[in-house]
Amino acid sequence: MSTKIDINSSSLSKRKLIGFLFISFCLLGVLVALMGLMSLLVQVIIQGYEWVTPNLIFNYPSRHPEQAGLWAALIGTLYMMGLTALITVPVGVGAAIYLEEYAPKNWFTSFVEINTSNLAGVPSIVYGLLGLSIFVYFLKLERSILAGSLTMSLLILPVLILTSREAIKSVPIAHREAAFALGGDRWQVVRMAVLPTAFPGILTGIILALSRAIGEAAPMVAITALVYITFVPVTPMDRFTVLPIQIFNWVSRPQDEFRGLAAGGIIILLILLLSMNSIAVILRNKYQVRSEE
Amino acid sequence: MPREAFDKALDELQETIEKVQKLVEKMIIDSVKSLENRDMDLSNKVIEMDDEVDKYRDDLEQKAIFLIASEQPLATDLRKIITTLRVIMELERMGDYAEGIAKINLRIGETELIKPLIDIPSMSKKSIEMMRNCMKAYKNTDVKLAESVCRVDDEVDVLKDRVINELLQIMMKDPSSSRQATYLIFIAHNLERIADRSTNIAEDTIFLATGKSRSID
Amino acid sequence: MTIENKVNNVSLKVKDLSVYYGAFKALEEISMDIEENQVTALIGPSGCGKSTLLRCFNRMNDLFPNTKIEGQIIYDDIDIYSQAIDPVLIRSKIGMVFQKPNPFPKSIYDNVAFGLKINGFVGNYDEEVERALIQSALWEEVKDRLYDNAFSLSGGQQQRLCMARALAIRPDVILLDEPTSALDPIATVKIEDLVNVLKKDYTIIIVTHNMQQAARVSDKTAFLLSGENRCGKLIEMDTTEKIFTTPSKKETEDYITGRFS
Repeated sequence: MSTKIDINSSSLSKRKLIGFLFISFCLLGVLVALMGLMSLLVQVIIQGYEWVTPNLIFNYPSRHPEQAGLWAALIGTLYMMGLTALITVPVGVGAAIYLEEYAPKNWFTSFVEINTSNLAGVPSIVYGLLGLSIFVYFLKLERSILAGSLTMSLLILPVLILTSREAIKSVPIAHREAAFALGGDRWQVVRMAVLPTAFPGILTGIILALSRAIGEAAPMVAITALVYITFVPVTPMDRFTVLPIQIFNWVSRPQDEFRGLAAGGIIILLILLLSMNSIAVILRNKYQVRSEE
Repeated sequence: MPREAFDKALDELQETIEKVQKLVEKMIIDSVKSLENRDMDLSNKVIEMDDEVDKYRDDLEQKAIFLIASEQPLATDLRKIITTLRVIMELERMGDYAEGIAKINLRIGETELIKPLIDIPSMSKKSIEMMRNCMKAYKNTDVKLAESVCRVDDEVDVLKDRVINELLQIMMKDPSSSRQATYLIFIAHNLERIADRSTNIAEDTIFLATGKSRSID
Repeated sequence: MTIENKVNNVSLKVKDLSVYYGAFKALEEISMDIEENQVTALIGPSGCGKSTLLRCFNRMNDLFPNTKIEGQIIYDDIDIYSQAIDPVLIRSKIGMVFQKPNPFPKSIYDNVAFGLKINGFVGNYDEEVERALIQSALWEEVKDRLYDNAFSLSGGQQQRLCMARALAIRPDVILLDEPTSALDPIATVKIEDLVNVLKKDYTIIIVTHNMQQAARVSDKTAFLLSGENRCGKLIEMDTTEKIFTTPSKKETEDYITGRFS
């Protein structure tokens, strides 16, 4: 009386076909995206690889392409990144901790949350103009690296808060409960039970936010006004330039060699970004402890 | 209904008990009848019936033990199963006593009875009545009825003493009758033990109802 | 043979305790005495409020918003819900082990030492960690790998680790919230044996769904039930022996014999 398995089931063949088509479609999408990316990279590398020399890295900009280098922009980028990190990490992580662990669930907190999400999507040039009017003019910080860092901080702060909050939210409630049940007050629970587990996520979020900061040209254009810099900044009040701007500067030169230099600069920038993302992945894997069975 | 299967199993246990009750009743009645009518065939039948009682007992025990293991009964359920095991044991012993009466009848053999039977049938009737009442009390968990059964036990004891005194008199007067007299004393003793077992069942019923193990005088 | 019925001191006294989550009344006027060095079991169908009641003893309900408590819980002659008492103080004296084992993602040693650190313990940590692990019958199994991650332990071992973690700070009372419902039978037995040993030195309150477990480990049992308004009430509380052989209330009888529909 049992119904036998239908080896030649036609409905199964049809389902398999649909599944196959779907997978093929997805694969196609992946290939298209990869192709686009690869062609971009290949073009840049072809244009720029012969320009990637010690000169490129260690020299200051010059009218002569053979002697032009990124040193000022490179140091400027690193300095700005460092300063931005110094500002955003305490503020961003602190805000995330407050919003997740301490803030009461009322209309004000919801208001802050919604706005944080929205701010993360605002175009970067808006931040550039904001930074210009507040930091450069109103606070009279001039076109200093401090003003640049503050502007960048405003840009990446919403994203940082968001990712830190996600990392904190992902800590299982069970950890918190256990810590409370042992007689911890809220700060102890946060510091000793929540943050250690959220740490890898927060760290990854910081590095990703900073790597976004490196690549953003628009706000820096507004702050620096594309002034031609041939020195490295020393104090926070010094003038500066960053990699994207220097590259932009070269691209707009008439000589062909400068386009090669620009490509070389892009390669350096990409290497920097790649390293930062790799560090993020390595650090995340290293500190990722199994927190669920 | 929750635990339908368990309730059904408990009902089946009760059915088995009632089957055994009927069997044992018949054994008691028939064993005394076979004595009265000098009917050896009937005695043999009674002896066979005891095997049937034993089989039912083994079967019920096994089922009850498995229910304890699998259903993990508590409170009333637990007391019910425990009481079932006690009651079947009492009924089985009653069957043994009835079988004993039949066997003694075979021993007495084809000879005439030394005296007409008056008190022994009385004892048998009273024992049966007690058994019926205590089993009714058990089935309905009727504490008052159970208590009344225990009081009737005294009457059976009085009858037994009378039988023994009479038979002792006869033995003293006529020593050649001592063998049969002794056998008859055994029979009276068995009937008294049957009545006694009924009081045990009555006490088990009170345990079922209240959870208290209590001896009633 | 007489069964000893020693009268212990009362460790926790609950007086007319009612719990509200916002407008919803979860528990109504619960009154009971929890005796010292005994195991008290809280049983009842899902949603009857037994976990809510358990969490009142160490004020873990305070962590939920909009919780309101009426009535008192007296511990050590103080009402633990009075305004002057900080819940943090209570929790170091009344510990808790949760239903699903929840060790921290740290080493075994650090898990046990966590409570000591939080409470600012100054002294020999190694000794206290060892003592706690011995008390929770885990020492022999982990003494050679104290610095392994806690998640390398089996489920049953993790739960005993959570017990060691709670025992490390030397509480007076231990609250167990269905501690074995996520464990296999062998691990369950180990935990029950542990409870039997621990009750000599601690007062234990256990919430369990398992009737037989409650019958096995507890000295007193309290049966809670919620009506249609989902508000939990205490129906009956007595010695475990009485509750499971001859309960007084029909609802208790129906629940423990599984005749609830």
